[in-house]
Amino acid sequence: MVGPSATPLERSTPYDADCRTPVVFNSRGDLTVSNAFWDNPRGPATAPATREAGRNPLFELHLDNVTKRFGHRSVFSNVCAEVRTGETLVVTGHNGSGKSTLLSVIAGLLPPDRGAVRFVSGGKDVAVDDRRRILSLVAPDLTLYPELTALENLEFFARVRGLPWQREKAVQLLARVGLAGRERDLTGTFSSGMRVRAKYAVALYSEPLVLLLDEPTAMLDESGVQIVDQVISEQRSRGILVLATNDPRETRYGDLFLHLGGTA
Amino acid sequence: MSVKPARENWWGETWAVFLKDVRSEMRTPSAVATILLFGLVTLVTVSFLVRVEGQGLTELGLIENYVEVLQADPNARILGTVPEGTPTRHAVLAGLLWIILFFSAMAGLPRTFLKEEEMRTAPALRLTALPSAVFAGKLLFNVGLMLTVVSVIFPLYLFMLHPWIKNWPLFVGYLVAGSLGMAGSTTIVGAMVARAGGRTYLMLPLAFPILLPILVFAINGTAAASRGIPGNYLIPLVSYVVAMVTLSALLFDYVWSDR
Repeated sequence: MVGPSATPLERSTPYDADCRTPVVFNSRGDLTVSNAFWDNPRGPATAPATREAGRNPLFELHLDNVTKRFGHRSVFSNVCAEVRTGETLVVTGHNGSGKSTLLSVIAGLLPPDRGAVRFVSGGKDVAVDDRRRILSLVAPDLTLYPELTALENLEFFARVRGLPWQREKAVQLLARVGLAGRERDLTGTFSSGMRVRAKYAVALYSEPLVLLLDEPTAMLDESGVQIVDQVISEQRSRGILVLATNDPRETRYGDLFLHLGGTA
Repeated sequence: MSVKPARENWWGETWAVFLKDVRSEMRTPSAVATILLFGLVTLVTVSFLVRVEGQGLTELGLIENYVEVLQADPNARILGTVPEGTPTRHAVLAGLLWIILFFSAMAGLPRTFLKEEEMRTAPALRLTALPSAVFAGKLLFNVGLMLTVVSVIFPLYLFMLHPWIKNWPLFVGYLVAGSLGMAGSTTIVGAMVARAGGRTYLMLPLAFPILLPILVFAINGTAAASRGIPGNYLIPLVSYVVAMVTLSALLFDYVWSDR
């Protein structure tokens, strides 16, 4: 899909005056741009035609000409994408190209200088204040409270989001990310890999419709990578997944790709 | 799959922020330790000064009933020239009390927001919590912290400085209202300073104009209450505090969020 999201499938060229950043399908047969650079070991993703036919209109993420600047420096401009339930958008680009910034913009932590990020549910835009219940972000810049235990962190973020607190569910989640028996330990005493695991538990507690992962396997050991594999597989069946990464092991999850900072 | 309408539980979310801050403060006491230490050190220092000066003032006749002394003997030399409105012991002690509380508050209350930025936990809080719940939770925490500090400092102030309070209910009223005002002011200013990259030197110049009316009403009110004379400062003080906290709550989203 390329171009403004209103009529994405009718466009025949990857670039246009409004939307300069291409999003390409990760399918050899369906690529409409010449700079497709990813190979998907899982086989073709949903092709445009089949995607349209099987379109799930219930939940979508729209990036409409999103532009971000820091002072006079443009980080990215006119980013367009439309991601639907079950799809994974992989954002790639060199260091400093704006991958993490784009995820922050999608999460609502940073405002776009131009354009808009919209979450559409059943054809209607989701209110900004409701996004905190449907969206989770796991990123190196996102820190849990080191003076709280893993379980207390989960409880706090559940309650502050207005979600019901289910201790059993939290304990199971922590066990699932490999922190069984460490629930009552302060996260400040965790290793960096364990902190990342705790972040995944916090993010997954809300069963998010949109999961944003910035460098999803950074700091994780092999068992941690396997856990992330499972998380990604589940998220693909539950909602939308956006990954910011350059790691080939992670880019293979993508259905849609967005390369920031120029052509690959 | 659809997004269900949110079932708001604003009080629950506010309480979660408050409890988190209490728990965090109990485990790594930074704000309460700073405030209490600052308050205690200042109080002890001031107590030495005022004891000497107090005795001196009493010897010179600068006592609370100097007006009666003047009425009895218009030619009495009470400090030679003591005009009306010169600070009496009550006013001096009231001023000292609020100076101690003001600088203690400045030293510790903004920590609640600064800590979020320093520990890099603020983005997670921004991502998950309603701004209004964050403000209310932090305000509750600062109010609790301020009242805790007052409950420690004030008995020591009574013990060390002997302020001879005549109208206790009114005095306590000023103390509580002034403390609430300080907690409210430092909450919003703390958020602004934290967002300004933690430039703590901005705290005083930003907070002082907001706190000045509170200090004026509170110092004059507590001085009047301790002398047992009527002073119409409580209603203006409470009105100002309510207006300031309401305005802060309305503006907080612009300070806290980038959107």
